Amino acid sequence: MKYCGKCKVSIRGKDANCPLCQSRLSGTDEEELYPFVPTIYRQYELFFKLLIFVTIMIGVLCVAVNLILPDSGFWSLFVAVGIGCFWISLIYALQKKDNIPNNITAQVFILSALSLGWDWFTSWRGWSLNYVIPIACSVAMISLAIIAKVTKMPAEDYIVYFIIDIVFGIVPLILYFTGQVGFIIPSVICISLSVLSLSALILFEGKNVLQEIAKNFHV
Amino acid sequence: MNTDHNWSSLDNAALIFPAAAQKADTQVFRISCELYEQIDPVSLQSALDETIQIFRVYQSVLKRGFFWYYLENTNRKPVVHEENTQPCAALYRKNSKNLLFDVSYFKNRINLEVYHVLSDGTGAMHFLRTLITKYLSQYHQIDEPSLDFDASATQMSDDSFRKYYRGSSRKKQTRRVFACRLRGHKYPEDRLKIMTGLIKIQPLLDAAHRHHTTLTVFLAACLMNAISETVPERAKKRPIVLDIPVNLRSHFPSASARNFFSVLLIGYDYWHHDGTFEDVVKKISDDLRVGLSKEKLSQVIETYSAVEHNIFARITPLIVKDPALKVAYHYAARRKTAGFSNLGIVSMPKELEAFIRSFDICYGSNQLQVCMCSFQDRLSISFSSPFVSSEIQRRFFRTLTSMGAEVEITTSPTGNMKEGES
Repeated sequence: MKYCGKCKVSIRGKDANCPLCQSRLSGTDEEELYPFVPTIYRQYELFFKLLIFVTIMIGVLCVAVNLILPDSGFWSLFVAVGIGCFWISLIYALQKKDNIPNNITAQVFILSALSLGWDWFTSWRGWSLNYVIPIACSVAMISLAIIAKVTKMPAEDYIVYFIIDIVFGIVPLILYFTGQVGFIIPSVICISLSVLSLSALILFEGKNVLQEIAKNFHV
Repeated sequence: MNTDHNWSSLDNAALIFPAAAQKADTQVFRISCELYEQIDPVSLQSALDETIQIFRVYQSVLKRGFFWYYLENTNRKPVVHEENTQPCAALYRKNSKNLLFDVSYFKNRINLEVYHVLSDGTGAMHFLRTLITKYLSQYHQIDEPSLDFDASATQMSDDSFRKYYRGSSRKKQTRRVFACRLRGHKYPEDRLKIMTGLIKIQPLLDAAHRHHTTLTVFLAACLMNAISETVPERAKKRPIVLDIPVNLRSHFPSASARNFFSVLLIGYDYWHHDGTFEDVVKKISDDLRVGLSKEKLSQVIETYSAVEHNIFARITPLIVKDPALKVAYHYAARRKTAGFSNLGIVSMPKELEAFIRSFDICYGSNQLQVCMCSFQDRLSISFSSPFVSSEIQRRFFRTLTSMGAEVEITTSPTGNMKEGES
């Protein structure tokens, strides 16, 4: 035990100075009473800085080349917007990295919104509705089901997201009936998957589904 | 409102916590128990496995619903580990489903850290006492003595705010003024400095009795004067306000292991009053007497619960509610200077007392927080503070030593930064 003559208090531990008045302590060292906790080193900081810098570099390079060769059109704009979309998706994925079902569902929405935007601003060819949305929904449903089974995820951790994916999988059905879909194969696959998943969910996890809804929507 | 086998809504006091949690204000408290011998992790784990069987409500994760947060039972098992974080480090992380409490050990000390959403200090203390009782009786192979605490699983998971809310029309609460706030350099990485003083209780009791008051009031007055001597003169235009949690279990019968507390804001205006020790003591004890009356306390329960039961508050989606609660939390924080909470006497079975050196409790917030509890003949007072300066602590402890108290201080390391280098 150490002692501070000015504060008249005993001090435990190994401090050389009084924690109250900073004057020198007398007495002998004791064992440490707390573990040493190193300052948290931001592990991936450099990696992300490099990644950001590389994407900025590509963007600047493209714009510069585009400016030197103005006859080739405004293609560098697409590169810049593409880089933006990549970062939106990546930042969201990193934020939700501990909640995979949430992440998958969110990526479907981000991807759908971004593809709709691209399609709209590039003289609407319908590829977002024909391909991107149904394929993204199908992939989300299949991967969520597989991940849940393989990692033996408890029902309450994924059911809500599974329901959202299924409901979103109905969107191609509406588009199909309103005649918005040109190439129907991906949409048909997506709708069938939705119906199959929904019936499986009700048959095998019906009780859990009701409970999840009660939990999530209690007021 | 719904407490079936699988999930439960948050109790009234817990509602505001998740919205406002952040790295600098983790809302996690730590209760530690120091023994006279090294901790054996294997026995501790088996004691924890038995304890969690009794306190099933602790085996929960926090989730976001559409309208409210809720606690969901889980099969995740708590695992004891050697202490490897700062005291009161964050336990709740959005998107990861981990338990809201943590048991760790370091040399002779067992720490229980609890996120305030799960329980208050009294509830957590029951948990720790049960754990220590089981650990010690297993490790030393003595028959497990029974604790002075008896509650069924239902009683423990009970939301007592709901039980005592009558839904009567509430009176308008008196508006509170903003309090004097402490400022200063803080430690990097939102680290907290925990300074615990272990003090023989008798000299303090004698001193309190000399001022014709209780120990809590006496120490609160010492703290208030220490703050008043430290802050700049013009900051005292605003009153110095202590936020004192009140354990409602001692006023409304309840054996809940969850939250059941309320807070009293006790202030003293040093600008208009002379600030003599007698006057501060008188003001605090008067305010406490009024604040602790049964009518006042049930009024507080009514006011708190009315917000939760308000139909508009209920049907507002959480995504809107969260920022609003966050603002309310920070607004409320401006009405207090420091926190001061007394957990009271910790009792353990007679045959185990000889193994235990002390209990102490601290709380992680971004303000100065003083927590105390006593075991046998010694009182432990912990200051947790994000500030580098420890002037308030120095004045406080020197006041006590000048009255003949023997103080023994332990300080948690805060990295390399020493006071004065900032």
